[in-house]
Amino acid sequence: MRKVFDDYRVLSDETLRPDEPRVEKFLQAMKKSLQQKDNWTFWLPYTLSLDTCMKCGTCAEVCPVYIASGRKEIYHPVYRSDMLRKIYKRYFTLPGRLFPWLVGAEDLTEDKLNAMAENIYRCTICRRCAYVCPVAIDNGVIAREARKLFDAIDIAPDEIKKNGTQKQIQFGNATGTPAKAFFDMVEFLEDEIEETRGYRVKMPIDKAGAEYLLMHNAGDYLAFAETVMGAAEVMNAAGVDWTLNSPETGVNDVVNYGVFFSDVEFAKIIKAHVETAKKLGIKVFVVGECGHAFEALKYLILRFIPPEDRPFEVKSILELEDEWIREGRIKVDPTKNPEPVTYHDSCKLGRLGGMYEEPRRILKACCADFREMTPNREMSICCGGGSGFAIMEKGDFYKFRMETYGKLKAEQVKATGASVVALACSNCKGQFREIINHYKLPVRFAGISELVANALVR
Amino acid sequence: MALVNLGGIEIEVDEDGFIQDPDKWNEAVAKALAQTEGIEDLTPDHWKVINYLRQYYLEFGIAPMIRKLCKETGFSLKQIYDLFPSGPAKGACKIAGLPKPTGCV
Repeated sequence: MRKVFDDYRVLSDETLRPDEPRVEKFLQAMKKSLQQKDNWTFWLPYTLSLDTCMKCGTCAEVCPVYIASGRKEIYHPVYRSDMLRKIYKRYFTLPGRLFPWLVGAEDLTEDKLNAMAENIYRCTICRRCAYVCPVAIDNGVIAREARKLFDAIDIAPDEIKKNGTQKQIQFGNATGTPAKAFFDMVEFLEDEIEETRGYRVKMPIDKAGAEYLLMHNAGDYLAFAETVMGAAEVMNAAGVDWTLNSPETGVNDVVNYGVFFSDVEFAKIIKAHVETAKKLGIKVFVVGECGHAFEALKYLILRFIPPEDRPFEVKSILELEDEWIREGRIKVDPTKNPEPVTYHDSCKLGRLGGMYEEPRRILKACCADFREMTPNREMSICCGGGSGFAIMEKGDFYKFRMETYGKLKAEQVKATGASVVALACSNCKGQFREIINHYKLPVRFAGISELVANALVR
Repeated sequence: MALVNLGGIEIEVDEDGFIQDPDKWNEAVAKALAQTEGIEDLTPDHWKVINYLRQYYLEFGIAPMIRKLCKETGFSLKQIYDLFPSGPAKGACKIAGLPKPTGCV
């Protein structure tokens, strides 16, 4: 693949169509995005962020990509935002239309489109920059809006669209797991729990009217099954009426990759989630260990589905585990997890979702030696798996992930001296699996639910 | 998509080198795919993993859980990485002629 921006390529030629004329369509999509009635998600922070930037550079000093790349200008958060901002000024502001040279407005070309399409996939939208900006500019929102514009002209990574949202709608999950395979998986996991713990835990499937519907990231069954097993043990120990669901009752994958790049795709998936929950008649929709699914079902849903159309509560599995430990509904013994454990804040759960204390209370209750990473919470460094990066590896992208975000994260983990990194998000798990291999770190990662299950006293 | 010659037959592969039509897979194709992964010789241990993946895929229409793969073949995840350096999904599934795993795996 030819070079269009830097040494990497997230978008294949087939997707990017680098020689096709796309400028006109892009400008039409952008015009629409600037109208409030046509942009129901983040119109206000988007337009404010395009209008106002003092170019102070505070954002760059906290950006993992910029810092780890040796402060390369092309990875500066403002350089990325300015790619869109220059177009905004040139075509959608009066001074820019009349005196482009005075206001930093620039004509859009096909080459510039190619470069921007790639650069918006060098940022995981971790929004650490937004947290420190003195005038509340959100470069993350700009990157996401730019991804939406590209999606509107049908340019989006295959991993999150063709093999992501579209596959999820077709099969009920983005992994393409058929119902028959799903039943086989769950039965196997019941056997595994029995073999490792000495007791059998029933994992109900498609149970209509259950109080709790626990929906995992479908990838967890395939790649991080210990999280699924741990969560089942916790639900069982709490003695609640719960169920998983199979593709036979609708969508059975909590992911919604639309969060990363498209309101249109987001809307299709969230509607399918709501329909599934209503069909099963459950009371609480429990989001498994997945960062962006929490954003979708806890927050973005509020802007799209009216309250009367979602007759259920939404909770993260972490909220339930934290509540149940504090209430004494489940009993845990921290000495059952004796190794030093540290916690990596998922950007979507933490900076976006405000869920900092729940995982920490859980881990302190379940592990004998809990250690913080530095920095953490609001200033946590994204692992580099965010916004779908964990599953993107075309065009040498694995190398980009390891040598920017991954490098900083590996150093941070080493400094804790922990032997277990607790994670609450599948993208983080995918990225940590690679970081641990790549940097040969003497640690393993574990889902929060896995550590809770280890600590259970029955 | 591109048409490539693997093990003496023309097969369509995607950008990541996964064959598109699982029915065209045979031992010679597996050996040729192994070469693309930098694996010179497929040992009986490789075949144990490949055959299990293939058998599970033909029965269930998807790759097995990694945990199940380890259990059924008796290999630890580390041993699977030693056999297939790109890992169970990207390395072993490719050689076994399965489609590229999708979703957060």
